[in-house]
Amino acid sequence: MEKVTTISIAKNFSEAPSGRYVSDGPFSGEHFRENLLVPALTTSDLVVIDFDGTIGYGSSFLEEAFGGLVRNHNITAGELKKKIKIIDNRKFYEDRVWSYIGSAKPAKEKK
Amino acid sequence: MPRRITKTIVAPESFSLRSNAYRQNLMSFINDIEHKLKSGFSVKVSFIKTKHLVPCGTLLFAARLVNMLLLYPGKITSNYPKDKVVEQLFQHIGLLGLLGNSSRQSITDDSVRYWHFLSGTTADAEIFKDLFREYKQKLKEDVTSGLYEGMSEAITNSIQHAYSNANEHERLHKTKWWMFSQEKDGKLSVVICDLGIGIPKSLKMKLSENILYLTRRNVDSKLIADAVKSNRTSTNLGYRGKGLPDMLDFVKNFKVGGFSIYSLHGSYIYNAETEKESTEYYKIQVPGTLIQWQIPLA
Repeated sequence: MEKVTTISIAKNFSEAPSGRYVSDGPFSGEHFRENLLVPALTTSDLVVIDFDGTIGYGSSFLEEAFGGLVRNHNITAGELKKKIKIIDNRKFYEDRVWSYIGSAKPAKEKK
Repeated sequence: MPRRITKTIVAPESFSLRSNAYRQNLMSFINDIEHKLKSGFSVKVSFIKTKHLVPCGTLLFAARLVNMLLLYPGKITSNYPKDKVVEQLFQHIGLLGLLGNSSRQSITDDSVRYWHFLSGTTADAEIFKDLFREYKQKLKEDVTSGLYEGMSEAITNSIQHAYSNANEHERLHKTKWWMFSQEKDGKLSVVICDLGIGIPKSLKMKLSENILYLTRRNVDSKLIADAVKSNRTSTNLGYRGKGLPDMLDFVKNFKVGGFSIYSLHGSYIYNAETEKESTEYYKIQVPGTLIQWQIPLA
Protein backbone atom coordinates (compact mmCIF):
# COMPACT_ATOMS: atom_id res chain seq x y z
CA MET A 1 0.00 0.00 0.00
CA GLU A 2 1.31 3.41 -0.96
CA LYS A 3 2.44 5.47 2.00
CA VAL A 4 1.31 9.08 1.77
CA THR A 5 2.53 11.85 4.06
CA THR A 6 0.82 15.21 4.09
CA ILE A 7 2.64 18.32 5.25
CA SER A 8 0.71 21.51 5.84
CA ILE A 9 3.35 24.21 5.90
CA ALA A 10 1.07 26.56 7.87
CA LYS A 11 0.09 23.97 10.48
CA ASN A 12 3.21 21.82 10.69
CA PHE A 13 5.87 24.50 10.23
CA SER A 14 4.92 28.18 10.23
CA GLU A 15 2.28 30.58 8.92
CA ALA A 16 5.15 32.95 8.14
CA PRO A 17 8.02 30.91 6.68
CA SER A 18 10.98 33.13 5.94
CA GLY A 19 14.70 32.99 5.27
CA ARG A 20 16.93 30.66 3.32
CA TYR A 21 19.36 29.07 5.75
CA VAL A 22 19.00 27.86 9.31
CA SER A 23 21.30 30.71 10.32
CA ASP A 24 18.74 33.22 8.96
CA GLY A 25 16.02 32.32 11.41
CA PRO A 26 13.84 29.57 12.89
CA PHE A 27 11.50 29.03 9.92
CA SER A 28 13.90 28.93 7.00
CA GLY A 29 13.75 26.96 3.76
CA GLU A 30 16.71 24.84 4.84
CA HIS A 31 15.05 23.99 8.14
CA PHE A 32 11.82 23.02 6.39
CA ARG A 33 13.65 20.91 3.85
CA GLU A 34 15.92 19.06 6.26
CA ASN A 35 13.47 18.54 9.11
CA LEU A 36 10.16 17.95 7.38
CA LEU A 37 10.54 17.46 3.66
CA VAL A 38 13.52 15.13 3.42
CA PRO A 39 12.36 12.78 6.22
CA ALA A 40 8.94 12.58 4.55
CA LEU A 41 10.43 11.89 1.12
CA THR A 42 12.68 9.24 2.61
CA THR A 43 9.89 7.33 4.32
CA SER A 44 6.94 7.89 2.00
CA ASP A 45 5.91 7.01 -1.53
CA LEU A 46 4.06 10.29 -1.95
CA VAL A 47 4.41 13.59 -0.07
CA VAL A 48 1.49 15.99 -0.32
CA ILE A 49 2.57 19.53 0.52
CA ASP A 50 -0.16 22.01 1.35
CA PHE A 51 0.91 25.60 0.69
CA ASP A 52 -2.36 27.16 1.87
CA GLY A 53 -2.81 29.00 5.14
CA THR A 54 0.46 30.91 5.25
CA ILE A 55 0.77 34.64 4.75
CA GLY A 56 3.07 33.94 1.80
CA TYR A 57 6.52 32.70 0.83
CA GLY A 58 9.73 34.50 0.04
CA SER A 59 11.71 33.35 -3.00
CA SER A 60 14.68 32.49 -0.77
CA PHE A 61 12.55 30.14 1.31
CA LEU A 62 11.02 28.38 -1.70
CA GLU A 63 14.24 28.07 -3.66
CA GLU A 64 16.19 26.67 -0.74
CA ALA A 65 13.44 24.32 0.40
CA PHE A 66 12.80 22.81 -3.04
CA GLY A 67 15.76 23.72 -5.24
CA GLY A 68 17.88 22.53 -2.35
CA LEU A 69 16.47 19.00 -2.73
CA VAL A 70 18.24 18.78 -6.08
CA ARG A 71 21.31 20.72 -5.02
CA ASN A 72 21.94 19.14 -1.63
CA HIS A 73 20.33 15.71 -1.93
CA ASN A 74 20.89 14.90 -5.61
CA ILE A 75 17.22 14.09 -6.13
CA THR A 76 16.29 14.71 -9.75
CA ALA A 77 13.37 16.81 -10.90
CA GLY A 78 11.88 13.69 -12.48
CA GLU A 79 12.02 11.79 -9.19
CA LEU A 80 10.43 14.70 -7.36
CA LYS A 81 7.64 14.91 -9.94
CA LYS A 82 6.66 11.36 -8.97
CA LYS A 83 6.96 11.86 -5.23
CA ILE A 84 5.54 15.35 -4.56
CA LYS A 85 2.02 16.63 -4.96
CA ILE A 86 1.36 20.30 -4.26
CA ILE A 87 -1.83 21.82 -2.93
CA ASP A 88 -1.90 25.54 -3.77
CA ASN A 89 -5.43 26.89 -3.94
CA ARG A 90 -4.14 30.45 -4.29
CA LYS A 91 -2.33 29.32 -7.48
CA PHE A 92 0.66 31.46 -6.59
CA TYR A 93 3.41 28.98 -5.78
CA GLU A 94 3.21 25.64 -7.56
CA ASP A 95 4.68 26.83 -10.84
CA ARG A 96 7.47 28.66 -9.04
CA VAL A 97 8.37 25.61 -6.97
CA TRP A 98 8.69 23.41 -10.06
CA SER A 99 10.68 26.14 -11.76
CA TYR A 100 13.14 26.25 -8.86
CA ILE A 101 13.41 22.46 -8.91
CA GLY A 102 13.92 22.47 -12.67
CA SER A 103 16.65 25.12 -12.50
CA ALA A 104 18.58 23.64 -9.58
CA LYS A 105 21.80 21.78 -10.28
CA PRO A 106 23.16 18.98 -8.11
CA ALA A 107 26.17 20.02 -6.07
CA LYS A 108 27.85 16.75 -6.87
CA GLU A 109 27.21 14.03 -9.41
CA LYS A 110 25.40 10.85 -8.35
CA LYS A 111 27.61 7.76 -8.10
CA MET B 1 34.12 62.64 38.73
CA PRO B 2 33.72 65.45 36.16
CA ARG B 3 30.13 66.11 35.16
CA ARG B 4 29.30 65.15 31.61
CA ILE B 5 28.37 68.18 29.54
CA THR B 6 25.08 68.02 27.67
CA LYS B 7 24.85 69.45 24.17
CA THR B 8 21.50 70.36 22.67
CA ILE B 9 20.98 69.40 19.04
CA VAL B 10 17.94 70.63 17.17
CA ALA B 11 16.19 68.12 14.93
CA PRO B 12 15.23 69.22 11.42
CA GLU B 13 11.71 70.19 10.37
CA SER B 14 11.40 67.22 8.02
CA PHE B 15 12.55 63.65 8.49
CA SER B 16 12.88 62.54 4.90
CA LEU B 17 15.46 61.07 2.51
CA ARG B 18 13.68 62.02 -0.68
CA SER B 19 15.70 65.03 -1.75
CA ASN B 20 19.32 66.03 -1.29
CA ALA B 21 18.26 68.96 0.92
CA TYR B 22 16.06 66.91 3.27
CA ARG B 23 18.62 64.14 3.36
CA GLN B 24 21.45 66.54 4.12
CA ASN B 25 19.53 68.05 7.04
CA LEU B 26 18.49 64.72 8.51
CA MET B 27 21.82 62.94 8.16
CA SER B 28 23.76 65.95 9.48
CA PHE B 29 21.48 65.95 12.52
CA ILE B 30 21.90 62.21 13.16
CA ASN B 31 25.65 62.28 12.52
CA ASP B 32 26.00 65.28 14.83
CA ILE B 33 24.37 63.31 17.67
CA GLU B 34 26.76 60.43 17.10
CA HIS B 35 29.76 62.72 16.89
CA LYS B 36 28.90 64.45 20.16
CA LEU B 37 28.40 61.13 21.93
CA LYS B 38 31.73 59.84 20.66
CA SER B 39 33.35 63.03 21.90
CA GLY B 40 32.14 62.33 25.41
CA PHE B 41 29.13 64.62 25.62
CA SER B 42 25.56 63.77 26.54
CA VAL B 43 22.99 64.91 24.03
CA LYS B 44 19.58 66.49 24.43
CA VAL B 45 17.57 66.43 21.22
CA SER B 46 15.18 69.29 20.65
CA PHE B 47 12.19 68.44 18.45
CA ILE B 48 10.90 72.00 18.59
CA LYS B 49 11.08 72.46 14.82
CA THR B 50 10.02 68.96 13.72
CA LYS B 51 6.77 68.84 11.78
CA HIS B 52 6.95 66.38 8.89
CA LEU B 53 7.70 62.71 9.48
CA VAL B 54 8.06 60.68 6.30
CA PRO B 55 8.45 56.89 6.78
CA CYS B 56 11.89 56.59 5.11
CA GLY B 57 13.61 59.32 7.12
CA THR B 58 11.80 58.58 10.35
CA LEU B 59 12.72 54.90 10.21
CA LEU B 60 16.37 55.64 9.61
CA PHE B 61 16.38 58.05 12.54
CA ALA B 62 14.66 55.51 14.79
CA ALA B 63 17.10 52.75 13.83
CA ARG B 64 20.18 54.95 14.36
CA LEU B 65 18.77 56.25 17.63
CA VAL B 66 18.13 52.75 18.98
CA ASN B 67 21.68 51.74 18.09
CA MET B 68 23.17 54.85 19.68
CA LEU B 69 21.17 54.30 22.86
CA LEU B 70 22.63 50.77 23.06
CA LEU B 71 26.14 52.14 22.77
CA TYR B 72 25.57 55.17 25.00
CA PRO B 73 22.80 54.22 27.44
CA GLY B 74 21.26 57.15 29.28
CA LYS B 75 23.29 59.66 27.27
CA ILE B 76 20.53 60.80 24.90
CA THR B 77 17.43 62.62 26.09
CA SER B 78 14.94 64.92 24.44
CA ASN B 79 12.22 67.44 25.00
CA TYR B 80 8.65 66.81 23.93
CA PRO B 81 7.99 67.77 20.30
CA LYS B 82 6.14 71.05 19.87
CA ASP B 83 3.95 69.55 17.15
CA LYS B 84 1.31 67.35 18.78
CA VAL B 85 1.07 64.90 15.87
CA VAL B 86 4.84 64.42 15.97
CA GLU B 87 4.62 63.86 19.74
CA GLN B 88 1.84 61.32 19.25
CA LEU B 89 3.86 59.45 16.65
CA PHE B 90 7.09 59.39 18.65
CA GLN B 91 5.11 58.25 21.66
CA HIS B 92 3.22 55.63 19.64
CA ILE B 93 6.38 54.01 18.27
CA GLY B 94 8.16 54.18 21.60
CA LEU B 95 10.86 56.71 20.78
CA LEU B 96 9.82 59.21 23.43
CA GLY B 97 9.97 56.50 26.07
CA LEU B 98 13.46 55.47 24.96
CA LEU B 99 14.49 59.11 25.40
CA GLY B 100 13.24 59.17 28.96
CA ASN B 101 9.90 60.91 28.44
CA SER B 102 6.62 59.60 29.79
CA SER B 103 3.58 59.23 27.54
CA ARG B 104 1.16 62.11 27.90
CA GLN B 105 -0.85 62.12 24.65
CA SER B 106 -3.84 60.06 23.60
CA ILE B 107 -3.17 58.58 20.19
CA THR B 108 -6.06 60.12 18.29
CA ASP B 109 -4.61 61.31 15.00
CA ASP B 110 -5.43 58.97 12.12
CA SER B 111 -2.07 59.60 10.56
CA VAL B 112 -0.48 58.16 13.72
CA ARG B 113 -2.78 55.33 14.72
CA TYR B 114 -1.96 53.31 11.63
CA TRP B 115 1.83 53.47 11.99
CA HIS B 116 3.49 50.26 13.09
CA PHE B 117 7.10 49.89 14.20
CA LEU B 118 8.85 46.52 14.40
CA SER B 119 12.42 45.29 14.49
CA GLY B 120 14.26 41.97 14.54
CA THR B 121 17.54 40.16 14.96
CA THR B 122 16.73 37.29 12.55
CA ALA B 123 14.69 36.67 9.41
CA ASP B 124 11.86 35.33 11.57
CA ALA B 125 8.79 36.87 9.93
CA GLU B 126 6.32 35.56 12.54
CA ILE B 127 6.62 39.06 13.99
CA PHE B 128 4.61 40.26 10.98
CA LYS B 129 1.62 38.02 11.67
CA ASP B 130 -0.50 40.55 13.57
CA LEU B 131 0.30 43.20 10.99
CA PHE B 132 -0.85 41.00 8.15
CA ARG B 133 -4.00 40.01 9.99
CA GLU B 134 -4.83 43.71 9.83
CA TYR B 135 -3.74 44.08 6.19
CA LYS B 136 -5.84 41.11 5.06
CA GLN B 137 -8.93 43.25 5.67
CA LYS B 138 -7.60 45.99 3.42
CA LEU B 139 -5.64 44.25 0.67
CA LYS B 140 -6.47 41.58 -1.90
CA GLU B 141 -4.98 38.17 -1.20
CA ASP B 142 -2.42 38.28 -4.00
CA VAL B 143 -1.29 41.73 -2.86
CA THR B 144 -0.93 40.55 0.74
CA SER B 145 1.15 37.59 -0.35
CA GLY B 146 3.26 39.70 -2.69
CA LEU B 147 3.96 42.28 -0.01
CA TYR B 148 4.83 39.58 2.51
CA GLU B 149 7.23 38.02 0.04
CA GLY B 150 9.03 41.33 -0.43
CA MET B 151 9.25 41.99 3.29
CA SER B 152 10.49 38.45 3.96
CA GLU B 153 13.19 38.86 1.34
CA ALA B 154 14.20 42.28 2.66
CA ILE B 155 14.79 41.01 6.20
CA THR B 156 16.51 37.88 4.85
CA ASN B 157 18.88 40.09 2.85
CA SER B 158 19.61 42.10 6.00
CA ILE B 159 20.56 38.95 7.88
CA GLN B 160 22.60 37.39 5.08
CA HIS B 161 24.48 40.30 3.54
CA ALA B 162 24.23 43.52 5.51
CA TYR B 163 26.45 42.61 8.44
CA SER B 164 29.06 40.42 6.76
CA ASN B 165 31.77 42.44 8.53
CA ALA B 166 30.18 42.14 11.99
CA ASN B 167 31.70 40.06 14.80
CA GLU B 168 30.06 36.90 16.12
CA HIS B 169 28.32 38.60 19.05
CA GLU B 170 26.89 41.31 16.84
CA ARG B 171 25.72 38.77 14.28
CA LEU B 172 23.83 36.85 16.95
CA HIS B 173 22.42 39.58 19.13
CA LYS B 174 22.32 42.94 17.45
CA THR B 175 19.09 44.22 15.94
CA LYS B 176 19.50 43.77 12.23
CA TRP B 177 16.46 45.40 10.73
CA TRP B 178 13.68 47.87 11.49
CA MET B 179 10.29 48.31 9.87
CA PHE B 180 7.65 51.00 9.66
CA SER B 181 4.30 50.73 8.02
CA GLN B 182 1.88 53.62 7.56
CA GLU B 183 -1.59 53.88 6.08
CA LYS B 184 -2.37 57.29 4.65
CA ASP B 185 -4.52 58.70 1.85
CA GLY B 186 -5.55 55.30 0.56
CA LYS B 187 -2.00 53.95 0.36
CA LEU B 188 0.04 51.62 2.49
CA SER B 189 3.71 52.50 2.89
CA VAL B 190 6.08 49.89 4.25
CA VAL B 191 9.74 50.64 4.88
CA ILE B 192 12.41 48.21 6.01
CA CYS B 193 15.97 49.26 6.77
CA ASP B 194 19.19 47.81 8.04
CA LEU B 195 22.37 49.59 9.15
CA GLY B 196 24.76 47.23 7.42
CA ILE B 197 27.33 47.72 4.71
CA GLY B 198 24.82 48.63 1.99
CA ILE B 199 23.97 47.03 -1.35
CA PRO B 200 26.73 48.78 -3.34
CA LYS B 201 29.48 47.76 -0.94
CA SER B 202 28.11 44.22 -0.63
CA LEU B 203 28.23 43.84 -4.41
CA LYS B 204 31.64 45.52 -4.75
CA MET B 205 33.13 43.04 -2.28
CA LYS B 206 32.36 40.13 -4.57
CA LEU B 207 32.68 41.59 -8.06
CA SER B 208 35.80 41.38 -10.16
CA GLU B 209 35.04 44.38 -12.35
CA ASN B 210 37.13 47.42 -13.10
CA ILE B 211 38.22 48.84 -9.76
CA LEU B 212 38.21 52.48 -10.94
CA TYR B 213 34.57 52.17 -11.99
CA LEU B 214 33.70 50.59 -8.69
CA THR B 215 35.25 53.27 -6.51
CA ARG B 216 33.28 56.21 -7.95
CA ARG B 217 30.62 57.17 -5.44
CA ASN B 218 27.96 57.90 -8.04
CA VAL B 219 28.13 54.30 -9.14
CA ASP B 220 26.17 53.28 -6.03
CA SER B 221 22.90 53.99 -7.85
CA LYS B 222 23.95 51.90 -10.83
CA LEU B 223 24.81 48.96 -8.61
CA ILE B 224 21.47 49.22 -6.81
CA ALA B 225 19.65 49.39 -10.15
CA ASP B 226 21.61 46.37 -11.40
CA ALA B 227 20.66 44.42 -8.28
CA VAL B 228 16.97 45.29 -8.73
CA LYS B 229 16.70 44.64 -12.45
CA SER B 230 18.79 41.53 -12.75
CA ASN B 231 20.08 38.62 -10.76
CA ARG B 232 23.27 40.46 -9.86
CA THR B 233 24.07 39.14 -6.42
CA SER B 234 27.01 39.36 -4.06
CA THR B 235 27.12 35.56 -3.93
CA ASN B 236 27.64 34.95 -7.68
CA LEU B 237 25.35 31.92 -7.25
CA GLY B 238 22.86 31.59 -10.06
CA TYR B 239 20.04 30.36 -7.86
CA ARG B 240 20.17 33.43 -5.62
CA GLY B 241 19.50 37.14 -6.09
CA LYS B 242 15.83 36.86 -7.01
CA GLY B 243 14.50 38.91 -4.08
CA LEU B 244 14.96 42.49 -5.32
CA PRO B 245 13.75 41.81 -8.89
CA ASP B 246 10.66 40.08 -7.45
CA MET B 247 9.98 43.13 -5.26
CA LEU B 248 10.04 45.40 -8.32
CA ASP B 249 7.82 43.04 -10.33
CA PHE B 250 5.29 43.05 -7.52
CA VAL B 251 4.93 46.86 -7.51
CA LYS B 252 4.71 46.97 -11.31
CA ASN B 253 1.27 45.37 -10.97
CA PHE B 254 -0.12 48.63 -9.58
CA LYS B 255 -0.93 51.96 -11.16
CA VAL B 256 -0.24 54.01 -8.04
CA GLY B 257 2.52 54.05 -5.48
CA GLY B 258 5.97 52.67 -6.12
CA PHE B 259 9.17 51.10 -4.90
CA SER B 260 12.36 52.77 -3.67
CA ILE B 261 15.75 51.63 -2.47
CA TYR B 262 18.21 53.96 -0.73
CA SER B 263 21.69 52.68 0.05
CA LEU B 264 24.91 54.60 0.73
CA HIS B 265 25.18 57.37 -1.90
CA GLY B 266 22.60 55.98 -4.30
CA SER B 267 18.94 55.33 -4.85
CA TYR B 268 16.66 53.51 -7.25
CA ILE B 269 13.05 54.67 -7.48
CA TYR B 270 10.22 53.16 -9.51
CA ASN B 271 7.07 55.27 -9.88
CA ALA B 272 4.08 53.04 -10.58
CA GLU B 273 1.91 55.92 -11.84
CA THR B 274 4.32 57.03 -14.53
CA GLU B 275 5.86 53.56 -14.91
CA LYS B 276 9.23 55.27 -14.90
CA GLU B 277 12.34 54.45 -12.95
CA SER B 278 15.06 56.81 -11.82
CA THR B 279 18.32 56.76 -9.95
CA GLU B 280 20.00 59.51 -8.00
CA TYR B 281 23.38 60.27 -6.48
CA TYR B 282 23.47 61.86 -3.03
CA LYS B 283 26.45 63.68 -1.66
CA ILE B 284 25.76 62.47 1.89
CA GLN B 285 25.35 58.75 2.35
CA VAL B 286 22.83 56.79 4.37
CA PRO B 287 24.28 53.78 6.16
CA GLY B 288 22.94 50.37 5.19
CA THR B 289 19.90 49.87 2.99
CA LEU B 290 16.37 51.18 3.13
CA ILE B 291 13.62 49.64 1.00
CA GLN B 292 10.19 51.22 0.66
CA TRP B 293 6.99 49.97 -0.93
CA GLN B 294 3.93 52.09 -1.48
CA ILE B 295 0.84 50.23 -2.62
CA PRO B 296 -2.84 51.13 -2.91
CA LEU B 297 -5.27 49.93 -0.29
CA ALA B 298 -8.38 48.13 -1.56
